[in-house]
Amino acid sequence: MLVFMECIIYICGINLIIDIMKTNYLFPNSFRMIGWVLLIPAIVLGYMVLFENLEFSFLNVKTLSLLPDSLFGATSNTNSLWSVVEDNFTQELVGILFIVSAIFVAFSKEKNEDEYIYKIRLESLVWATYLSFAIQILCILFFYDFTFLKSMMINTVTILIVFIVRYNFIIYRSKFQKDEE
Amino acid sequence: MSDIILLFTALSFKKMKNNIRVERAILRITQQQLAEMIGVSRQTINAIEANKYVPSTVLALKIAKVCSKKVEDVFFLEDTD
Repeated sequence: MLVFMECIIYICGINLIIDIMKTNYLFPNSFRMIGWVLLIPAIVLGYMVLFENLEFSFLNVKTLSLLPDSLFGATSNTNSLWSVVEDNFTQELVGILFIVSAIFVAFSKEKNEDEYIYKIRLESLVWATYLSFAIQILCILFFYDFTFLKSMMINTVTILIVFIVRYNFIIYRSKFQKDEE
Repeated sequence: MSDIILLFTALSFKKMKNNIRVERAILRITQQQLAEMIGVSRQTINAIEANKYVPSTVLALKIAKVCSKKVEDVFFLEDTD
């Protein structure tokens, strides 16, 4: 009976290892290209939304606003859980586009996925977390009012940007290291 | 207790080195060819040869198998200077 149990545990262990090697939490390789194609317009649009107040007029829609607490006192009832507000949807759309495409770029499989790539990915993720929260701390310390609000809006994607830059830099660098024969 | 401390310090000064480059020269294969034989990327072989990356046991065994040697003959501990 004990031997049988041990066998089960052993087989489960092997399956777990195989599962880890398969990395089912990453997107297929083709998603990286889709990600880049979407990310470039998202960066341009994101810049325009943040610094040039870009708003497409055809995106004026009524949307659901949860826990409304307006800075400008525009909403009549601030105690309600939700309300319907008239809003331009450009910001939201660009934000979602940016996040989704950046995630595609960041978390797609390499063509030749192996344990060294794993290590680079993990290291880059830790790096990105440290750096983005360091930036966040600086923003909390030195930015106030609207500047703070804007910096927090940008900071939601810092972690992804730092990860993409660091990861791709290391991969690029190791790709062009010469085979010293 | 002092033995344990001694052992620990002795181990902590060790670093894993390898002579994959030599083994490759014997087999007359490039990094790319070796990488393809064991199913990893060329960067991985490069990083291992440069002692930048310590491979997993599975990978070390595979490399030793390609060289038809024991793992200990390909990978070994060495004092860091």
